[in-house]
Amino acid sequence: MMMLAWVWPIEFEQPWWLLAALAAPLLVLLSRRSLAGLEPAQRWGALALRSLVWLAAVGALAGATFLRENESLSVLFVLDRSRSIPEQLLRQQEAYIRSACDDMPAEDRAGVVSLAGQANIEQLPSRGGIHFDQLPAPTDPERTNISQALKMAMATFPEDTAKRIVLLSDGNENVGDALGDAQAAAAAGVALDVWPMHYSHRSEVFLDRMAVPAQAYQDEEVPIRLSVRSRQPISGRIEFYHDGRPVDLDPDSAELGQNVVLREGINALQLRLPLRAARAHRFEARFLPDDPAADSIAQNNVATGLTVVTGGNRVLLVTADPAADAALADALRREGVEVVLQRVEDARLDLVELESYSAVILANLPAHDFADVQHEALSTYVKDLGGGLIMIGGNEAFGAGGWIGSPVEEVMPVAFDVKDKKIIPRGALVIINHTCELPRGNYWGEQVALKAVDTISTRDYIGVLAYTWGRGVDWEVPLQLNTNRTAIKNRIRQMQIGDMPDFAETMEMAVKGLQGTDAAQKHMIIISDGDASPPNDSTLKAMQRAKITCSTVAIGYGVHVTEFTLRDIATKTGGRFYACRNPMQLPKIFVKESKIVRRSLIDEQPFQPLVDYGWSDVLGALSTADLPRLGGIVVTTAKPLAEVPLAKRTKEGKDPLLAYWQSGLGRTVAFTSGWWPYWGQSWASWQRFGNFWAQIVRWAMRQGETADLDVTTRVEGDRGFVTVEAGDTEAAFQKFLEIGGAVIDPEMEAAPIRLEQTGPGRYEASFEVAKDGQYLLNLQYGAPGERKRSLRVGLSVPYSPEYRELSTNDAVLAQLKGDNGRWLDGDPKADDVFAHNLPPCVSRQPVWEWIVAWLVLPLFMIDVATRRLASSVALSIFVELALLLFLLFGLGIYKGPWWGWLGAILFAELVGWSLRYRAIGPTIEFFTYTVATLGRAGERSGRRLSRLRQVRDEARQRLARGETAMPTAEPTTDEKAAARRRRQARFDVGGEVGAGQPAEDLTEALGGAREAAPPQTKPAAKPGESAEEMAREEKTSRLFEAKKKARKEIDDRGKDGS
Amino acid sequence: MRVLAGCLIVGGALYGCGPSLPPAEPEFVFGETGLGPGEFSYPRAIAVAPDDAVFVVDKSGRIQRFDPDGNVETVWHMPEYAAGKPTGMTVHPDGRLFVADTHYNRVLVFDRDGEELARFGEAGTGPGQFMLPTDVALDASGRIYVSEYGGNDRISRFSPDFEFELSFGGPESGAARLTRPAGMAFDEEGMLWVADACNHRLCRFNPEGKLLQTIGEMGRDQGQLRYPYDIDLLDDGTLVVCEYGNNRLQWFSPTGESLGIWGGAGRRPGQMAYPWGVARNNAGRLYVVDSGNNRVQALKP
Repeated sequence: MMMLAWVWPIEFEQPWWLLAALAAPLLVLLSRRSLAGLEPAQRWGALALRSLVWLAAVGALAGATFLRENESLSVLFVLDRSRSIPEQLLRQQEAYIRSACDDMPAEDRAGVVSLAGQANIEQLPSRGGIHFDQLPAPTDPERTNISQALKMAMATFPEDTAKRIVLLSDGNENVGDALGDAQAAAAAGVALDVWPMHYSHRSEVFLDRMAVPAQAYQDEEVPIRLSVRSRQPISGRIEFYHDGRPVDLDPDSAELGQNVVLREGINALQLRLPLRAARAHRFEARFLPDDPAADSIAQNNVATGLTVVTGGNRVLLVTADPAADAALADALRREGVEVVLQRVEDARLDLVELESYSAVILANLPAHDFADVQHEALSTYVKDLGGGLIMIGGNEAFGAGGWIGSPVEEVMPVAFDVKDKKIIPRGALVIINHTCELPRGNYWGEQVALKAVDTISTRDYIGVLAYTWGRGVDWEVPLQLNTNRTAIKNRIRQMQIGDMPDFAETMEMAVKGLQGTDAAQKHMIIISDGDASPPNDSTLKAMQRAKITCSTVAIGYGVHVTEFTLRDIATKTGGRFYACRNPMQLPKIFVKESKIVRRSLIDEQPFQPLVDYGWSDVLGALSTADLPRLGGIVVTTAKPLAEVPLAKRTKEGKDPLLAYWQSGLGRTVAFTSGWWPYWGQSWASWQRFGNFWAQIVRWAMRQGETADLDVTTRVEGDRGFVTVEAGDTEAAFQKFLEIGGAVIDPEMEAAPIRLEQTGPGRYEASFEVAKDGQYLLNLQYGAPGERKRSLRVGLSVPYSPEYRELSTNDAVLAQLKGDNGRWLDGDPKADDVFAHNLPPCVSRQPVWEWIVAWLVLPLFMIDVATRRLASSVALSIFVELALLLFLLFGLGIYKGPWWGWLGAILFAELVGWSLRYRAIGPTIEFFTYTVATLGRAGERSGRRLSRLRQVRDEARQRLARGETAMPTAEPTTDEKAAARRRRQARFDVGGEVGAGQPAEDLTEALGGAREAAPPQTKPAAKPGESAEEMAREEKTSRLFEAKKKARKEIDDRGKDGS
Repeated sequence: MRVLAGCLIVGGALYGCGPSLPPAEPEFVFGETGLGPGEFSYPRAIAVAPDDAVFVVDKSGRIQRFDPDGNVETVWHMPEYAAGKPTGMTVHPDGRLFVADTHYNRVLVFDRDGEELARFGEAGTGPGQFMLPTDVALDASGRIYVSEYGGNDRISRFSPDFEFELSFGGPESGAARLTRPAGMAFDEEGMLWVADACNHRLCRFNPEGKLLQTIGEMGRDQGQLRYPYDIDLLDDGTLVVCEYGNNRLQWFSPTGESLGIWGGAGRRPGQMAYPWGVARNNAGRLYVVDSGNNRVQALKP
């Protein structure tokens, strides 16, 4: 077996099984006895075959694997296209890869991966060079994520080639850590060659830092220090903005900015500004050089700062209809609450903005009016920053506004879904997914479906239809109640989305499904590029009759899109048409559309609010009679720990009207009615309206705290630093404080932070600032075992870290290259990235199935045949056929040219004939004997016929003469003897007359009466004579006897003269 | 034993040389995923020239010419392809390649090396205008038939000089109404066979657009069709249909009797994923565009 591995490229996965091969000799010994009855040749053949079967079985058990070497090479170019790479080098990159691929070997492949914040495959590994005309703009060039690009390159390589990554980068990674990926690539035998993109910005100015107090008191004048770094003397102007408004830095000048001349190195500038309002204050400074050419990178000429002024209790009231909610704002103001009324379109609602308010009121607003990041910000604002959030109802709020499943629902005291109320009508939503034409179509198809699952109620139905190549149009998610979201999402993640030929079949299936539900609201959403054939008119009419609406989302702009079919469907079914040019909008559209099926959560029966508690911590003493009626409510479910002082009585129990609770550090309130012009007219004119809401708002709002700590923040490189100077009222240092909390980044991701004491009363910590934007730190501090106080400070990262890199990071590139990679110098010819100097790729193909199918089974059958088929001719034919099948199909010769067939046939014949050489004589005899016997049989049959005729004639004559006796045509004694011998020979096992040899007498074949004859004893062999000789003699004598008898009979009849 | 061996050999020989249906395994396969010569990115249409050269267009907007054994000879790009790629082609007896430039609503004519010789058609619903043309067919007198969908769903006939003559199969055609006619071929009698994809049937028209015969109904069984996307004819008039929806080829007699099927959904040779087109060469070899597997499978005559 091991010899096999030397001769052929075979390896064994579990080689210890090969020890079993040692049992082969034992098998031979045991088998000799059982095969003793066979001829020597057959016996040895059987032993050899049996041994082969054993060895083949051992090989299969040992996991024999074919190794196949492939000499071809795949090269993946990973191009750093982040902002830190100068434009000129980007052009050089492209020229380099084109030139490198110009003369690439025909069997090799070249692929291209773009490297930035998000890696993209620009060309799959392909033969024949570079096939795109122009590289598309990179995704998120503000970052460099080498790690992700290397992962993508590794995943893109074809399996059966040698692999080389050619990295063209400056090594300034600011997301992820590529070293692990480079090491993984090296371990996998992938070469990583690096061309360092060398640059150095000699003419460069950048705003290094803006130092502002992270926290200040109301009306405090804060110092602001700017640090500007320049590589050469340069003149220009500094401009400064406070919350977006320019600050006059030089009152004597007509311009708002200040003209400066910067010297080489660090330049410091300082100013002071009073901060009046208690909120977050944003600062921005810009440097504008007089000669723009003297500055290489313009993007880093900006610095930002953030100071949070504590104190004050402002409330933000966000609404889509300011006129409708002006009554609430005015009523609160009359109660002394400082209210800022904003249209939802104008509300910024990032975390820093929210931080400026003690509470936020969302008045009848749907979820899709806010971006996902704003949902996260509202949730974080409550849980981590201690803010208050009040949601007021209406036809667009709570579950009816698509808020189900959002982070906001998590912090609210009511669940927006309704699980146990059977009288609530259900909704049903079918998504028809045809996103395959969109770049990353499967991803977006999956995302929108997931969003829909999260948005609709568990009482609603959801189903997803798509076209797949295996099954055609089918339910990827069968239409079902949205109760088991996890299982439905798992199915969605396994979806395959193919190119749908028409909408007809799909929509018919959707209509049939929707009609089979008990839903009151039936809605369909099609997402497609529109190039499928339109549905039948009958389908659209059936939808109209069944009140099934269908909204359509056209995607694929920039590739191609056929709008008219989709527009037509939406128009005819009362749905909406969306021309979606940015896939990022898709989830929002689906949230908006999904809420259509949730209209059923609105209960517009007027009602008298029920006071559930006689006393409320928030509202004090209340009675039902005090409260005006309301015209409607959004049905929700109170969460177990929520207080529900007001409710609506229903047949099944109560629906919460007012609910509140503590959520994390903050408080939230749900008032599920509202919509003052429609449901709450009598409330808006109620005299206690202002007092009622002021009590609620004051309970929810965060109380301002004044910290006794000095906190500063700063950015250095890709890290942010926070420093706390802790002094008490007597200017003594506060030691051993516990200071910790969370850093919330611009994408609302929270990370824990803990400050360490680094000196008397001085505490410090740092954290990663990979994203540009506003960071908020929510810190709790206090002595061990004492009540903790809160402190919030901000940090601003003005521009991408890409613009802070002024030179190439060779050290990182050297690490990535490792020991196996090469430095490239940018000369495509000299670099020769297609050099075949890597070890060839070895692909492994397990062959145990092949062994079982083509070795063990055939050999086993041959082994059986050897013992059971008592003829070497038959055996040889069997072997010949098995060998031929093995050669043709086992080795795949049948796929090859005709001479392969010929060769296989000849070889099989050769083996077959060599096996039956001992039987060639008898075979030839068989043919000659057959021919002779056939001739004789014909002759005999003719004679028999003529004799029968004679008998017939004689009978007629006797009848004519009046005689009745009639002779019978009986077989002769010789014929009887021959039949006896034949029967005897048939049971003569091991004798020479058997299968493969002719019968001795063809009378049987030609007909003729028979009668049983007593068995005749076979003559004993004379000493010294072989059985064959005896048989031949016997045969000859029998033939002679038969001939003699026949002759005699003919003569006798001739003598009779009849 | 000899009798058994003889039966095996004779049976095997008969199986391999069947007159109408090829063996389950393709004769050979060419193409793999990629953008290089001889590689495909979702090929969607195929045409065979009188000299047996094979043209294939894919979703990278490239037309590649292969020799009959699948060796690539020439590659060129469509003039514009950002908005979409062709889905149908045919070769004139004089060697000119007619391409239905689907998403540009026109027909382009190339020589065998990719030089553009002519173009006609524009977007619209009027006579001679196109909405998403799918295929081109040429009759014996050189007249050009263009099928289209996208609302027009009809076949328009043009003179050899690209002058519009007539159209048929449109929305007002009653039983002859087509829904996404996706492929066309002429038979020996000069009648036009159309793969009426979204009606899941084959239609036979005379050159004036009169419907003469239909074959098939929607389904997965033999004799039924799901989204037939292309059609070609053998010398004896047998129809070969490429079924996108059933991932197979199906043979029909001219009278509509199903003679057999080949393929099935899968990734292995002899299986297909989203097949879009079929074409035959002079020797009767069939080439089927196995789009989802980025390859062309060649079937023995």
